[in-house]
Amino acid sequence: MNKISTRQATLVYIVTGIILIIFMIPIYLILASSLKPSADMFSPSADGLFTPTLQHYVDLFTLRPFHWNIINSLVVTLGSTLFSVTVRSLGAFALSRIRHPRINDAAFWILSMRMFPPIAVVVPYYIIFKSVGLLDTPLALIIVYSTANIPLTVWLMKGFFDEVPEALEEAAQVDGYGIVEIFYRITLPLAAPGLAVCAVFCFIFSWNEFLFALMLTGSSAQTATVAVMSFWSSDAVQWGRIMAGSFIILIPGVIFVLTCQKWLVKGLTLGSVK
Amino acid sequence: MASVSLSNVVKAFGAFKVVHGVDLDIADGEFVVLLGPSGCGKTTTLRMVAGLEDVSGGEICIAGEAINDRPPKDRKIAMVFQNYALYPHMTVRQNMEFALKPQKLSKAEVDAKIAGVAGMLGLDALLQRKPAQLSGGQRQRVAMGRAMVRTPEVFLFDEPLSNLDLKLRTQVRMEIAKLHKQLGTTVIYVTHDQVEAMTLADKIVIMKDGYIEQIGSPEEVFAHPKNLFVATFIGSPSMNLFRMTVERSEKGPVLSSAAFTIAAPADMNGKVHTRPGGDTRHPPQRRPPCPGR
Repeated sequence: MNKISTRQATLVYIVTGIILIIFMIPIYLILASSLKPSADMFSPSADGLFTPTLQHYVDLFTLRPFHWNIINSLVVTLGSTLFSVTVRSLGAFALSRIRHPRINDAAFWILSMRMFPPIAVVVPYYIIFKSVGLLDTPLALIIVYSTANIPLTVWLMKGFFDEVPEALEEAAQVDGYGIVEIFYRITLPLAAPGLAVCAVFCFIFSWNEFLFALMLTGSSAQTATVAVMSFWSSDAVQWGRIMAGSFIILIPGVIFVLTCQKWLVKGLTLGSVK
Repeated sequence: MASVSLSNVVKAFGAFKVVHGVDLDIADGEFVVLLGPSGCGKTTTLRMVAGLEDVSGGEICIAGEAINDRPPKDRKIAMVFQNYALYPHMTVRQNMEFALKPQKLSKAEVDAKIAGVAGMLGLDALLQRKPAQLSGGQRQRVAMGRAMVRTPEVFLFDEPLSNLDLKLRTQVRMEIAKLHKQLGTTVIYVTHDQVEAMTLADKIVIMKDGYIEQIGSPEEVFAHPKNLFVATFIGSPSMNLFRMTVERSEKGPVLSSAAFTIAAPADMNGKVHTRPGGDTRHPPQRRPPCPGR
């Protein structure tokens, strides 16, 4: 590959910078608004400066049990992510390895679940969870989130499993291992980047999800995203608290993605087979 | 160490047969090479012995025991794959340890075995490296080490040298021959390279289109090919072929062509006959199943 010239590098940095600014503006606005006194929210001073205050953050945790909403969100998100990653990787492994003339039909059937809008199933979910007494529990949301992303993540993991050479599994078979051990000791570690991508997708989806959380939870299992919107009422919109809540909601996602980042590296299978 | 025998072994994918009733006896400690062009069924046959392919018909025995329905781990075999199949997330040492783990040995025994094999193959300096940090030749040696460390009864090699350059190939070939002499383990070795076959084998099995064309020592298949395929396949440059006519002369039968005439070989006397078309292949001889049973 040719070396990138200084000029090209500068261009890359400029374009990256512009893109970064475009993406960072909303986050800056959220942070700035969460620190502004309510009075300055819509009537900024001429120089745009304001005296920062943590009042909205304090209100969030003192006037409402926002910490409980965050805990609910964490339970639901981690629960569904863990469940999804374990179960879906097994499913994807089966799709990747089973030789059967109809296996592609099964794979397509899984993909077809992606073809209807989530809102179509909200009411049936509501009726089902109400009848089994799971309404307004974290378990209901864990079940919903764990099923919602099946098509995407199963297909994603299948792609990563397809990349792991079958010769490695055969070698392990000859070495004396059964299929379950081979999966956990050979295939899964080599598909770790896929697992990380899958986990990130599940985490972000579950953490940010609003529609199902709004419909299926009441006060006890309410998640942070729904709680933030409760500051939006017909009487008043408390922008400061909404922004403070939104900023807090951003943080775990960023931490999770950064944690998974080291697994998101390619090239783990380099050197295994020629 | 163990003998291996294949009786009427068939492999079919659906209605499509790729191995047609192979019969083969491999003595204890023998080095047998399955040789043939691509797609002749040699690798499939080896994989059936390894247990990586189901056997569609017939019986495979190792040390007199039928092993058709046993998983690979219960066959006392070790295999070296064409692409080495080293576990990329493990170091060389861990690759070998992983192969030993199912045997549930003590740590001292594992260490001793690894040290022994590493010494024999010159892997001592590489034990802490991962496969990605090794050259092709080193990977090949590690793959052999991983197979050797388990002290199997039968070694299976699936074209182990085809990814190496010519010089390295010659060198590793010598090493394999030396190791076989040292260990005395039964070896089944698949290759399409006749130089490898001729230099390594005690016995060569030449295959084509899923049939065995000839079984014999390297000298036998070279000097006395059983049929035209073997005659043209073995030897480089390959044997010259002439279309001859059998004729009578006052000195006895002669073979003549437009260019020259030679006396028919003595053992041809009385054997020359014509077959009214159809298959000229020798009809397969059925044998009793596993000798040890």
